Amino acid sequence: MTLAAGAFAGLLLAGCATPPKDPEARQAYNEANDPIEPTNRTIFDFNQAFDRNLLKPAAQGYRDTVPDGMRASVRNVLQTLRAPVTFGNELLQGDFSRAAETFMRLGVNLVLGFGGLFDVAGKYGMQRYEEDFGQTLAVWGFHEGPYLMLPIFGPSNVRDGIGLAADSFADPLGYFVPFAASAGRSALEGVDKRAEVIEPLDEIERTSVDFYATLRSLYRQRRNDEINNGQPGMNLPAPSISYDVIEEDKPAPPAATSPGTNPSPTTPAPSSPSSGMPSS
Amino acid sequence: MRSLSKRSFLVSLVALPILAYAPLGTAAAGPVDDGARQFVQVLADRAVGVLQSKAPKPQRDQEFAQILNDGFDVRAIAQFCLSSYWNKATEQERQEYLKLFHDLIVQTYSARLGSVYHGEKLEIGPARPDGTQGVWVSSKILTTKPENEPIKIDWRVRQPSAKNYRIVDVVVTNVSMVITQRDDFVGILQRNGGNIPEFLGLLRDKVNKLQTS
Repeated sequence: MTLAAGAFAGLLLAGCATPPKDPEARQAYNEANDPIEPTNRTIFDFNQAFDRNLLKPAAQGYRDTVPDGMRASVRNVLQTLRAPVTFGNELLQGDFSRAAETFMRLGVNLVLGFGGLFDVAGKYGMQRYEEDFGQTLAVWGFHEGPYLMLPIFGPSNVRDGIGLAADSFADPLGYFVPFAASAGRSALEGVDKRAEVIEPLDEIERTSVDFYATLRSLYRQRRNDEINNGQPGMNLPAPSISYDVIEEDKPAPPAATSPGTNPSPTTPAPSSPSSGMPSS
Repeated sequence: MRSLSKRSFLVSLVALPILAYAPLGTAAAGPVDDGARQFVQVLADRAVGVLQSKAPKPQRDQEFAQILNDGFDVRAIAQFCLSSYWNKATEQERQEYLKLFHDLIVQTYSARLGSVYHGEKLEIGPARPDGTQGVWVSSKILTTKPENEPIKIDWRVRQPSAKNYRIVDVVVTNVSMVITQRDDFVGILQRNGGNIPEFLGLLRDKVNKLQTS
C-alpha cells in the first residue's frame, strides 16, 4: 500500500510539466490548469484501454440485451440509492427547498414506486436533482484545483476528487450493505452512464484533434453547469465579430435605416456591433 | 395534495398579472430581439431540412457549409479558437488555418448532428441581452422520448448591421461549442511549444480523414 502510494507520488513528480516561459504558451498553460498533464495523459491512455476493452463493450451489451423498460427501472433504483447523498449535500449547501424536494421524492418513490423501481414522483412532475460533495465544496468557495485524471473514474480535479471520496465515505448505504454489493452498484452505475453516451463520445473522439484536451474542456464546463444548477453562470468570453460581414453588407448601410447606428468598419472591437442593437 | 389553498390562490392572483406582463416586457425590448429569434429559427429550420433530406454526404456537407456561411461569423470564431496564437501566425498560415477550420466545422457538425438527430423539434424561447454586444436567443430541443428533459441551447447572436445577423457561439446546456473547440486547439499548441505548422499538419490530417470517412 505504502509502496503503491510512493510509486504514485513519484509518478506525479516525474509527470510535472514545466511551465513554459513564452507568454502565449504561459497563458494557455495557466488556463488549462493541468500541471501534471503528462501523468494525467498516461492515466488517460490507461482509461482509454479500459474503456475500449471492458467498459464500452459492457455498456454496448447492456444496451443491446436489456430491454428499455428494465433499464429505466435499473436507473430509477440507482437514482433512488443516490438520493441520500444528494439530500445531505443539499443540506450542506443550505439549499433547503431542494433538500425538501429530494426527501419527498425519495419517500414517494420508495412507497408508491415499489422501493424505487418506478419513478412515480417524476410522473407527478417532481424534479430530480443530483448533488455531490465536489459541488458542495464549490458552493462553499473552494476552487477546483489542478485537473486530475482519475484511473477508471476519469476526468476530475482536486476538489471533485476529494468530493468523490467524501461522498463514498458518507453514503449511509455503504454501512448497511457488504462491500461487494457497493462495488456492484458502482459498476452498474458506470455501465448505465456509459451506455447513455456511446454515440456522442464516439463522435467527439472522431472529430476532435486532441481528444484529451477536448474532454478536459467539456468536463470543466459541465461541472460549472452542475454547480450553478443549470443557471447560465459566468460571462463566457466571446469571439469579437470580424468586420468582413459589415463590409459585405454595404448595400444596406445600417446608419441609414435606424438612428444611432454607426458601426465604424475600422473597429473590429466587440463594441461595434452593439450600436446596431438598441437596448430599448 | 394539489388542492389550492386560499393563500396560494391569492399568490397566483398577484403573480399572474406579473407573469402575463413579463413577456410584454421582453417584447418591448424591440424588434431587434425578435429579428434575432427569427434569424435563429430560420437557420435551424434549414438545418433540420438538410438532416431530414437524407442527401448523400457530399451534398449534405455542401448544404451545411452554406448554412454555416450564412449564419455564423466563421472568421471571428476561427480567430477566437486560435487564441493568442493567431497573433503569432503568418498571413499564409492564417489563410490555410481559416480554410481548414471551415472544413473541420462542416465535417464535425454535419456528422454530429446527423448521428444524434431523430426528428426532435427546436423550440425558440425568449431572447435576453448579452451585455451591450448582442443577444442570447434561448431555445430547447424537445426530445422524442417524453421522459427525457429538453436540451437547452443558447445562441449567441450579433448584429453587424441592420439587416444582418451572425451567430458567434452555440452553447448547449451551458457548454460553449466555441470554447470547447478553442481548448482542443490550444491543448495541442501549448504542448508542442506553439508550433503552428505542426498544428496545421494535424488539423489537415483530421479534416482529410473526416472528409473521406
